[in-house]
Amino acid sequence: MKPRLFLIMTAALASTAGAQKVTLDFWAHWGSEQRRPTINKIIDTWNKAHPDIQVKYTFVPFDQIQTKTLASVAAKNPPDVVVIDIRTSRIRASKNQNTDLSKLGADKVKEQFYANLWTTGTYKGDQYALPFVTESRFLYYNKDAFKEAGLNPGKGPATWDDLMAYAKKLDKKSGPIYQRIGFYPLYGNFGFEGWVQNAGEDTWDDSRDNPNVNSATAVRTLNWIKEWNDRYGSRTLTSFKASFGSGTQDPFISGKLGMIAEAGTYAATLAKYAPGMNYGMVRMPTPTGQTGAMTSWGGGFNVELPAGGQHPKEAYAFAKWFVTEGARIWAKEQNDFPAYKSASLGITSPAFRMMSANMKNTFVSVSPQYAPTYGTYIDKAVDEVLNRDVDAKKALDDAQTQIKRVIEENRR
Amino acid sequence: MSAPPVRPRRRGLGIRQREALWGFVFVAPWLVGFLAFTVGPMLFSLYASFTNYDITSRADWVGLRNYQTLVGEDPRFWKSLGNTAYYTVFSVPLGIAVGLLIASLLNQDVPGQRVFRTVFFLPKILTGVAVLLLWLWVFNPEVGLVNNGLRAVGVPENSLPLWFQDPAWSKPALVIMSMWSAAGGFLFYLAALRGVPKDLYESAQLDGANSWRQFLTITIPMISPVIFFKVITGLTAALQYWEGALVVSEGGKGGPVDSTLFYGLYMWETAFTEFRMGKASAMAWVLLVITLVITAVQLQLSKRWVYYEGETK
Repeated sequence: MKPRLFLIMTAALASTAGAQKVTLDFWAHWGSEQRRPTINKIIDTWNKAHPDIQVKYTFVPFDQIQTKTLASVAAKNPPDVVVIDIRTSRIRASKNQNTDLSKLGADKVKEQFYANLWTTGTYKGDQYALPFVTESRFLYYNKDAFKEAGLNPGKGPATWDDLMAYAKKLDKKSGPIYQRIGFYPLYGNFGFEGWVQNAGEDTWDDSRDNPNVNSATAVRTLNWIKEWNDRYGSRTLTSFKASFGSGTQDPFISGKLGMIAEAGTYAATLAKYAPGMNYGMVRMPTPTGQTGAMTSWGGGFNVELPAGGQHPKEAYAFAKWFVTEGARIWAKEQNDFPAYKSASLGITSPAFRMMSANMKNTFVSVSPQYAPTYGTYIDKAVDEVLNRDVDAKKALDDAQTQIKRVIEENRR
Repeated sequence: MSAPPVRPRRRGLGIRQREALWGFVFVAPWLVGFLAFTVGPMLFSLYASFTNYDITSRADWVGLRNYQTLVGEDPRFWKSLGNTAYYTVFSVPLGIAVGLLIASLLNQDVPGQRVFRTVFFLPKILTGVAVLLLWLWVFNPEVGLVNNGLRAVGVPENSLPLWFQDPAWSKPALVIMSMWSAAGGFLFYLAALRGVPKDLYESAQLDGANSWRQFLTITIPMISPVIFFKVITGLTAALQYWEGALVVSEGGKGGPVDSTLFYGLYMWETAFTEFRMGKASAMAWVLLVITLVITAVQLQLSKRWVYYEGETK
């Protein structure tokens, strides 16, 4: 009799304990030597403070995380929380792939985040994602090369005209071969659309349902890039680019480029591979020198609860903590810019402070729901103009028509 | 009058039936797998191709619309089909020619032949992304092996191909790349070549046939079943080819200017970037039909040139 009673009691105890303790499955793409210790630290901190809600971290490679999450949602066995591309949260919301966080109380914390990042997860008035980190793009320039070319190393270019004038001085040739190219707008990490937005006009309307890729600004911008292209020559630019590598072979580090547009985190790359490099970092030059809301752009990551998770309440509690207190640890150790305002205040490194100041001029564009692959039509237009002498207006008109067709097709 | 009593017929299965039953039992693991993991998903994708299925939010019947859109409205469908056709037309025959050529060379009696055979088989072992990355360097316009070679023979700097950076040269580069792994396929031909009876060559020599003539009228017909096998499997593989483009084009998008946007890559993009599983399923079925038609034509044509042992034509 006695052992039996004991068994029943243990079973009862075990089952109540089981009902209380929850283990959350958490997916993110951080697995590298640089990232892993920080994410482990964040999760350990949470797990120690919350014995009832334990988080199990799974590393999923960056290029697989979207498809794997989708597959797990379809199989009705998703992770509870996932870190995922900031630009596509709305698309997933429109397709019922993630959980409505407004129902879990997300709207209450809205004010604690930068607005441009918060809205990346807003769909039809409800919140489907919590913003975690972003970054911003800057112009980096080689101060030694500036000195050599007779430019003032204390002053980077502020306008598009400056950019062109400085570049001309920085160019270095031996015979017909370029040793150094001062600057080329499509090298680095800014892109044609980045320049159009930098000039003040978005390639989409606010709803991101109507493309605006053939605006007068876009045509002007493409012609401006064409000017650069013709000066150096398509062929020169293409083969020059083929010689770019990474690490110490990075074109800016190896001295092949006098200036380059890169993300704020590029400062960390320079610190690692060229610790002694004498470089300057300024906000992106604009056509007039005035800054606006789209002078620079950034990508980043949101935190979502994939649809169909078993423990939405606990998952939301962890997600909320992760994008606030977790972001504090992350920003300090990884130098990514946190969406949580208060986490960004405590860090004082110069690159980080610049990023912080640049946030109001940084545009985080959201992928259009009905044409997530529209970029291929823009790439084609740019190529036709630069390499095949097609008129800029005509090429962008064609792209606009094609993108509209895709939207039409996807709306049906 | 003591005839033996007629033995009652044994109940149950005859020996042949029992054998058949056991046969099915033994193939059951494969059969179950085939039904559950191949036929099931195929039928589902056939159904999905008539819907606007996007995995999570909808699956409404749309009739033939996906097919109509593909054929009638989508220029990238035709572009990707064209790219795949280009790749197939060049890579399959060239691959067979290279494999056969190498097999013939490796069939000669020269010292150290075993070493050569091993060396030529190596490409078959080294495949995948690592090899693609290696080729990216081989075709690098500035510092690559190919352009350095072309420079050495006097091709002027401005006429050197830019390979993966140039829409006109990106596909030829992929075809050349495919030759490399096709070379490892020599093993099939070599095995077949070893099986061609020597006396056929001897009688041909007596009749005064030179070696080219012998190759055309003895070797080729005798190993034609193997060539045919490589034609069919090569075509099927080439029609599905796209992973190379994922590595060699910037961002894996099939550039420059959609020149490496192969059918499979576009299908994948449609399914997993646009979430348009219905349209992607329709694309898969279009490809299946194309593959079936081409294979059927090849089977018909094979009657004219493929000889099986003991057969006379």
